[in-house]
Amino acid sequence: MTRREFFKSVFQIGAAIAVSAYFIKNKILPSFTKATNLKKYPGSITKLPNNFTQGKWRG
Amino acid sequence: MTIQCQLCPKQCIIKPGQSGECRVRINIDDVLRTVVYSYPCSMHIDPVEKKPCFHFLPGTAAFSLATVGCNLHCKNCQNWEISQANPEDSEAFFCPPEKLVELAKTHQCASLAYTYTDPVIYYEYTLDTSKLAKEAGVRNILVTAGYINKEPWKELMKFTDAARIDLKSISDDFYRENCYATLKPVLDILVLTKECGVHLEVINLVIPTLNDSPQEIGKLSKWVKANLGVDTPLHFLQFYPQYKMVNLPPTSAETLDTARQIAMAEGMKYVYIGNIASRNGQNTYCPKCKKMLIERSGFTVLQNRLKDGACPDCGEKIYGVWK
Repeated sequence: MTRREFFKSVFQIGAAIAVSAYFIKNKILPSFTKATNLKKYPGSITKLPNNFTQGKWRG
Repeated sequence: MTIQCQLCPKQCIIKPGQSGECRVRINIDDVLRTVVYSYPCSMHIDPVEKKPCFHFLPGTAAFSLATVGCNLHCKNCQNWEISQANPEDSEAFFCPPEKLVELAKTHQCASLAYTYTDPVIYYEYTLDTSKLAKEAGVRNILVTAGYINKEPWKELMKFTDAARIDLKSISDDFYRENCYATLKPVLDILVLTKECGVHLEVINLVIPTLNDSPQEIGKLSKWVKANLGVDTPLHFLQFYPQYKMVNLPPTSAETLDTARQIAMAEGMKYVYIGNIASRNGQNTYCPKCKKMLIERSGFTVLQNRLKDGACPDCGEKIYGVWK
């Protein structure tokens, strides 16, 4: 193998790794997708209060 | 078909008809649905100091809301009645994003606080409301454990004015044993929040025997200093026996005072004590001339001497959002 052929194969392998990594990141590993709204609440619904007090919860 | 939720590091794989760990993101007909969008279970008007946010519009009111559910299951959860509840067993209000913003404005609240449980799990509701609030001139505060993936967090940060994030411990074992979570994603989100230029305050609930050793407090303070900066307000809060952790006593005032001293000795400029009456631990002092700038009692601001966000005596700029 000549020096030129050696560097060519190193470059080809490097390029193949870079393209594969890009493909895996963008096509195979899923990215974030928002959830859609469920229009109906599964629990019970109550009326909005007229006055809003200080919360008893922490935070 | 199963779906993998990509919202938080738990990345739940959800079977048809089932929900993720948070209880509110459900696979219905192979589509990921949020069941709490527009359905808060709690709506209140709180002083912003209650979050606690001490360097963000002091003395103003925050229109505060939560839906049921949480992606963490901390054994010491203080709001477990709503955070660990199922939506089908809970009562909620119908309040779409535009109504929330209208209510905040009607009640002269400077901000909307997404709090009590964790805004991460009602992400889409928080995001849409935050966009509308920003347009209407109402600020957005996230009160969260910061257990979320970076991509959705970055999107939310575009519309967020302040984040108050729990750093429950600096130990991964603590997160695994007490919260069924891991430490690294939280640290990443803290750093990312700072990088996004969002006002940040950090809290640490000090639990006797679990995370109250001077070594651990020192390690946590060092990490905050190195990664978030000495200006970041750091709050040490008192633990109170709750939920599945009733075998431990409340944190003593001495332990909290020691924690504050350790963090200040590490170089942190603004260190506070919360959930307990404290003579000095609730006030803001100028880090340069040491004069008192903001005097607080409980959630009430008794005195605010800041002038254009600076100490009136020596002119030192104080980290925060003051108007």
